[in-house]
Amino acid sequence: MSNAQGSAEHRGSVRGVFIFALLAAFALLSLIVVVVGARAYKVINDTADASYASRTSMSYLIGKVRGADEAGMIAVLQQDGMYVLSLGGDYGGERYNTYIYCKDGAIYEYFASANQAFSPDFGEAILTASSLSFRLEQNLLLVDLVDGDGEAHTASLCLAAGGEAGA
Amino acid sequence: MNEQILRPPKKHGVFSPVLIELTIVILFFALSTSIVVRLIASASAISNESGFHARALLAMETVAEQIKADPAASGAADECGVRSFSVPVADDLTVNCVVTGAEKHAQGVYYTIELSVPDGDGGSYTLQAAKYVPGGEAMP
Repeated sequence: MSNAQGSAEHRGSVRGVFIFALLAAFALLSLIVVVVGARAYKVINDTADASYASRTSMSYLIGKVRGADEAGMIAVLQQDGMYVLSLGGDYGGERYNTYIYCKDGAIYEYFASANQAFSPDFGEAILTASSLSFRLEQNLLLVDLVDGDGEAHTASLCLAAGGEAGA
Repeated sequence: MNEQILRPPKKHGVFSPVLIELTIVILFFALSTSIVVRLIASASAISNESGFHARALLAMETVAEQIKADPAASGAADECGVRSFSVPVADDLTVNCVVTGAEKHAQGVYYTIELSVPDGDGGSYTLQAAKYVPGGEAMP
């Protein structure tokens, strides 16, 4: 009698342990899936951010340069150790310049009359970036951009104005 | 004692209802998990592909602009007027370029620029550009 009861209890406890082990294994695997999912989500976000930084900032810069691609309208300046891209344009018979530069971790744009001296303090922040430099080699404008995450991006632009761009 | 012997032994079912229920629940969750894992893997692959695509496109645009700046490249073309070369941009990214110059217009040269980046899976991203150089000389 006692042997049969003991055997039944033993069987019950083994079953309980088995069920517990099964649930524990499942919980562990679920945790692993969640961790893997979170990691994949982070990678996807990082990739999207990197693509955003490269595509958006470069599209902005390229669009601006294309809009001002005329003889004598594009110039690369250096002021206080920072590269400034000057894009000229005539509005109402008066010349205005759009200055694009990087300061304090952001790309700034400053639009002012050509008669007015360039001042980086009045610019408007457009995008996040660590550094931005320009080089003008004949009819090729080279743009080197380091985004907020420290990733470097390079783009070249063939200017229709050719070597007539002011350097 | 005799009663105990005569009484049929109390059999515990091999498949208890609780165990069956748990097995069904776990199977259901396992199925859900497998779908979630496949979704995660698929999302990750698409994200990687998207990132590579963005890099490849930026690289191809940059190379296209560099070629446009000097399409003739000091007459580096072959006898058919085709210039073919590769530009390594990164360890996993190389832009293959084919520049063809043809006298399609009387007063200039029309260059066709074909760029491609192999994606590593047998496919490739391609970009086509063109540059018209007025008054230029056609490649030999």
